[in-house]
Amino acid sequence: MLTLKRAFKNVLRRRFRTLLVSLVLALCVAVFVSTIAGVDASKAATTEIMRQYEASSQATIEETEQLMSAIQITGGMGRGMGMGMQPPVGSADNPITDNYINESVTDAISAMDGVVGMVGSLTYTVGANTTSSSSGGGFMMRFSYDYMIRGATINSSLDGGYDAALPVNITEGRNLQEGDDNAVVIGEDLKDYFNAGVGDTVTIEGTGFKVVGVYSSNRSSFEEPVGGETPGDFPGGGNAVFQMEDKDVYMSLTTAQNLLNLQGEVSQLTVYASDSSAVDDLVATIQSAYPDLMVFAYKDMQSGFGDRIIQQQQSIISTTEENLSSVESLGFSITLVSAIIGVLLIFGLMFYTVRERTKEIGTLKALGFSNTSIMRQFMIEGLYVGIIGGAIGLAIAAVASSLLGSWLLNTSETLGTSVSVSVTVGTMLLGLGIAAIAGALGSLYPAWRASRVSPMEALRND
Amino acid sequence: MNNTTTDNTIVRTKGLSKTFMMGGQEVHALTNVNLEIKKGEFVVIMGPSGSGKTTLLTLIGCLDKPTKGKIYLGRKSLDVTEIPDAALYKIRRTNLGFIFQTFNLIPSLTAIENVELPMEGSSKSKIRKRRRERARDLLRLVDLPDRERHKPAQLSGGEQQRVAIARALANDPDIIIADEPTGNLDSETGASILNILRKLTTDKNHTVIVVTHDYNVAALADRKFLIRDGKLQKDKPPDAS
Repeated sequence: MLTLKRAFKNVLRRRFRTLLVSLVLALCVAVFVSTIAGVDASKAATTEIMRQYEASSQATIEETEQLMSAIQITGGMGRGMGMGMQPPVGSADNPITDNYINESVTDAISAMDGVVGMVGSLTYTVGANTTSSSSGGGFMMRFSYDYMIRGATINSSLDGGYDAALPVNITEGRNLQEGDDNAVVIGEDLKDYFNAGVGDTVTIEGTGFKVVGVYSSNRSSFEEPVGGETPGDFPGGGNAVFQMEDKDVYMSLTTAQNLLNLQGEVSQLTVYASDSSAVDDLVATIQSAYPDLMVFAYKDMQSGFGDRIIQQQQSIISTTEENLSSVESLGFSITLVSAIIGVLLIFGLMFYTVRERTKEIGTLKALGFSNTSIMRQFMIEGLYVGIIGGAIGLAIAAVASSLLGSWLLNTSETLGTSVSVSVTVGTMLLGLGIAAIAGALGSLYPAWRASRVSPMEALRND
Repeated sequence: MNNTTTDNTIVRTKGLSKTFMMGGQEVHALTNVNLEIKKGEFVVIMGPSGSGKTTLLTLIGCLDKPTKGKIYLGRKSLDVTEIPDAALYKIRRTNLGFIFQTFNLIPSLTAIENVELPMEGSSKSKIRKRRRERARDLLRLVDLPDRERHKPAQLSGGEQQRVAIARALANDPDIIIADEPTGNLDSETGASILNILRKLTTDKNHTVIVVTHDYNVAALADRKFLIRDGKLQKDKPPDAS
């Protein structure tokens, strides 16, 4: 007890020096504690990001798998009657026609083995127009239309929660719901055409419909090469420019069928196989049963899409883990350096103190103090300085840890998200413990040297 | 190893020699010193500067080990030259009390805490447990009862030396060793210090060994040892020059 009291008094003997060393040590402790808090926050943020990402990733993977198991069926372009298909509508001069598949076909397909879901849609182009021009042996065709009626399944007849082919990005109002018999959702670009918005009534093919929502898909025109080996293609080849704008009028499938007097007809079927491995067989089965239909596996149209999605997911996870690893490594380096600086600080202080108090050490030995007790006293003094510095450092960290931790680890840039840094009680105790250990370690050698001083030589030292 | 004697000898040296290496050369600080000091004596060791008197004091005080020879301390004539360096602190704590020319008080401790200091590790539990009370008694003995809470910087030279004397008596040692105790004091203060030291031998039966240049100190001694060039001259009665 007396040793503790005496050591404390000795520490306070040189107040300015002790305070100076303590402040620098405090800074080291503040950095140490803030870094640990920053790393903990990064881990927590990463865990949360990964949790959220895995949840959305799982949904994306499920959607991708759904898409990879999808088969698109259309009536084919320029085909004649047969198999329940009706004649094409639209202008007889317009080579782009909408062909339809009636319900006997849809019912038969939905009953095939391997089909787990099916969504039908009916499209009808209003005011379709194509212009062509030629020069230098090639040609250019431009397609445009006033708007397209899209009758969409709001709920699939087969369960499974499959995409009902409704617009995704509703910018005004709402999307179509079950029971919306006289309601439409129009594209952003049709607001001017119809001079109408949400709540207004628009006339579609002579029938009035209430606009319940507006969508936007940010599409633009694109060119597609046409020509080649398929019969009916244009000789010489060329480019077709599709002017894709938000010019669809969505309504329920039944409403569209009634409006266009095409009850039981669809222009496109999206059939979902039990899994992507069954798609090829199902395509073959459908095509074999209905050779006049155009049957495409979505996975063939989007080559490697599924793999790309999965690779993207894995890449993001891997990058996030790498970022956390970098933060942890950086954090470890910072804490190690700050701890080493702390030890060296105390070492310097105590080394100087021992030299300064050589005479006092000699006196203590003359008075009957053992080498061990002298070593213990100086180590306790070092420990006190460590604890004082640690306590001040914790006070700094409590106030500035958020700023220090985020700045040192640059976590907001590393993880692309803001990280909230706070110091826990456990981290504070660790910081104080490390400061005390730094005090003890730093004073170890100077204290040992003090114990080795010859009492006679010390007494001669002035 | 003990060398028991039947008389009252408290310090005995036999063939004591000490050689230092300085600048690659041997310096014989002490050569074949034989002396005996009896219990309760006030002994003075005198000599010119560099004569070896401080070296003799440090050897008797177990602050250093001789190159050759023996030193027997205490009533049981303990051969301290046989004791390892690391264990000599016990001898210093129990048998010896030191008074220095520059007082050597611990600056961060008060007067009473300085006096208590040696009692911290005393083997005598009575002393250890009653150290505050004993420290007060000792300060009263040196006539400083009202200064116990003062730190050395707040005390005069004479007061500091009195505290040092009280500290030297803390563990009730047989032998008090004083190295120029009045060297930093004026004559009047020095005289009062000497008075206290003299009383320790007459009233308390301590043995006091003083190294000094001061002939006034020598005049108070029961015996005087002269050292020259590391050799002990024949000890002289106190009135001899």
